[in-house]
Amino acid sequence: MVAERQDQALAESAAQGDKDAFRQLVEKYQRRVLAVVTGMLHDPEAALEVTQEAFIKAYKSLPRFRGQASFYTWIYRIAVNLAIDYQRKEWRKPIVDTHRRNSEEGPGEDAVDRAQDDDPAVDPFEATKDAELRVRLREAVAELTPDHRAVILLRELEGLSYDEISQIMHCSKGTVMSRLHYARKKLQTLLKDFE
Amino acid sequence: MNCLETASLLETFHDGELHGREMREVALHVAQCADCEDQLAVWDRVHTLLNESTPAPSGDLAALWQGVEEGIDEMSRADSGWSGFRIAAASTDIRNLWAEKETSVGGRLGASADEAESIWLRPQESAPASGSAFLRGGMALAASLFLAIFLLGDEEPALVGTSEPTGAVARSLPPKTDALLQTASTSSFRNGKSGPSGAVVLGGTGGSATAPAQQVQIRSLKQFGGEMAMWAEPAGETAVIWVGESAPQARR
Repeated sequence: MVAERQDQALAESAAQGDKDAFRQLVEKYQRRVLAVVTGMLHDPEAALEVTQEAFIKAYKSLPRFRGQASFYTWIYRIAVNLAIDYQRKEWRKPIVDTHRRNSEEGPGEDAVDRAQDDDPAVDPFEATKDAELRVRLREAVAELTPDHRAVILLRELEGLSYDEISQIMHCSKGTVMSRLHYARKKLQTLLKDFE
Repeated sequence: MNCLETASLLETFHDGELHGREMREVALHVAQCADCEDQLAVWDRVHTLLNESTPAPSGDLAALWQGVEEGIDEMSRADSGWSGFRIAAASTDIRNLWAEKETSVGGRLGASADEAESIWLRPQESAPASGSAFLRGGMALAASLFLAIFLLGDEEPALVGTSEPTGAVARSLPPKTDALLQTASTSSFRNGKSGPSGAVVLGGTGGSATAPAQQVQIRSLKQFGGEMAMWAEPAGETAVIWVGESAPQARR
């Protein structure tokens, strides 16, 4: 609650044109917002652009932010909506998973090397399998609808509550639970098929 | 509590969203049930893998703020230049464009695009002409003028707008004219005030133009002679709306 009050005070100052106050808010939340947007877009450059746009949009809308929601759920909401819009505009283009692209010569080779560096006892076969599983999981997440993807990332990466996610996604708590269940089921099926 | 009863609560339990008696009962059941415990383990695994497989945010976070700051500054510049520029344009150059409507279509289009651009790029006292947003705004204005002239065709402009309340404008139009303009807030029209106020709804079909209904915010308004020009902003675009006996229908 203290953090929320501080955010509210900073937001009010920023709404009056205090850019330093807004900078504090940006610096406080940029990493978390960027993490979710990166998870949604799987494109670091686009994620950075969308995150920037989200904060610019937030600044513009600060006079309308009256603290009905906490600042972080509000900024998440703006960022997630922009990321969803971005995905919808880009939906015809094939998703380029830069992490997959980087490891096309051998899925997970880097991960295998890292694992072996860390622990020479790691079975190379298991390490390769794990790395491949992560790639497949990323692809499975990318195949979810933007709404499902946003919900599961907000929950699993950010650990947000159902209530917070429902505020961000502007939907009911029941919808959050159902989207979460659906997304998990898809990922669980992938795990079962793989393991 | 058995597995069947637990099933619907297990995921909520996993997410820590279950409280009180239900939470205790599910916890008790899970402690005694290998199947339910396995299910929780699968969700834990999904959680772990998702965190491991989601690309970590990369990029220069300091550069992020720099980009945000530039965006904010650009936005402020664009806002401060809005009314001064557009009202000036309304009162002079755009009216001149109307006078050109007797020229050929090609000539009109060329003239409108050129003139719009030159208007936009003209140095403004209150609007420093720099930044990509400003340029985009210029392009939007040029496009609007292009459409306005193009849609005008060879026909004489029809009566479109009055200062009637919501809906009356549409009803007062001749059947073939159709409604492109409905006022949701008409006090600005009536009083001919300039400056941001009110909102209008654009939409319908007029001549060869069809526009989906949408609400726009009035950004500036100017009356000159028997005509009135209003600049509005639907979702970042520029809309030019003409109202008056000698003006054409609403143009986008």
